[in-house]
Amino acid sequence: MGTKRDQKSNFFVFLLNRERVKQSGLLRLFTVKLNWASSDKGGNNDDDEIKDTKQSSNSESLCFEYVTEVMPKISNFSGEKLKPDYMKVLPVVDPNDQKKGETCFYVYVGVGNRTVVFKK
Amino acid sequence: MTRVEALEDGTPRSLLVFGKQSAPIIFVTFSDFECTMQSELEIPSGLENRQIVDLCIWDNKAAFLFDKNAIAVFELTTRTVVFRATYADATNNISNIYFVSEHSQPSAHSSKVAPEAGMLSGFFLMTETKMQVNKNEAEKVSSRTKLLRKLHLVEIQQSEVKVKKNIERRDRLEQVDELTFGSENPKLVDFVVAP
Repeated sequence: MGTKRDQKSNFFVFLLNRERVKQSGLLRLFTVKLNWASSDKGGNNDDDEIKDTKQSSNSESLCFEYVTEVMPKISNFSGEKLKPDYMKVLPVVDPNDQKKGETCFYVYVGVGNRTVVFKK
Repeated sequence: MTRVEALEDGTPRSLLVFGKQSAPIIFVTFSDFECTMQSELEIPSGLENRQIVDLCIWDNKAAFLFDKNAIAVFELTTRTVVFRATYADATNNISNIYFVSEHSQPSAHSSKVAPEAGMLSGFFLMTETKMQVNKNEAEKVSSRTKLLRKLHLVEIQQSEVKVKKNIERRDRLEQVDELTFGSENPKLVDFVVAP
């Protein structure tokens, strides 16, 4: 999971499949990073990429950087046959909760009152 | 009324309240749980009977996404429409809209020409969904199934052109990127700015 570009990403999109949560409590989550396209338009070689996107003709415009699929886990999930029906993501702002170079998010999903902490 | 959105504009606090139909959109300001001001936003002509699909708020602006992919941005201090355009590059319905600010652009890429003062700038992230409509209840949105097809990244373009003796404002939404989800069909979307 990575990119050839070293630019700081400011924006993330989270997409959650509304399929049933797995018995283990795992959720199927996609994350899309938005970045500013540089003049170096090298592609990426992520194995878990869904589909590459067209590059904007404007070399300094915002574009979708890459897509990854991750499986965050709901803590204390007891295997209920439930589908998530809402999602809210909040960035972690407490620096003590973050390791160096890591961006963390809290992912709140509507499966009971459960919280997923997703580290990116 | 089916939706309430809080504006983070300090004290006194403000709310936008609206139903599924566009009119009325009510702007409420209150202090210490007492309503101090209530007014309606004036819906642009042609959008009065459109359904409100989504809303995003930033700074002191609110972008309303209407059906048929029409977008109107209100300046909330003046309660006026400062941008209006229809997004034509989607093949289906846009169901979510998020504002992506331009000022988070890294300095190494800041050579782009700055927008003129008073002009709206930035991007919208929009989700395109294919609607599976129950023919017997085509009018009921709740009966529709949404399947996410694409993410659209769209740049806000606003300019003034001189036409004869008048200055006319041109509002456009220009797609800068798109991302297609083939068989994945994710259904819940959220957008965040990294800390």
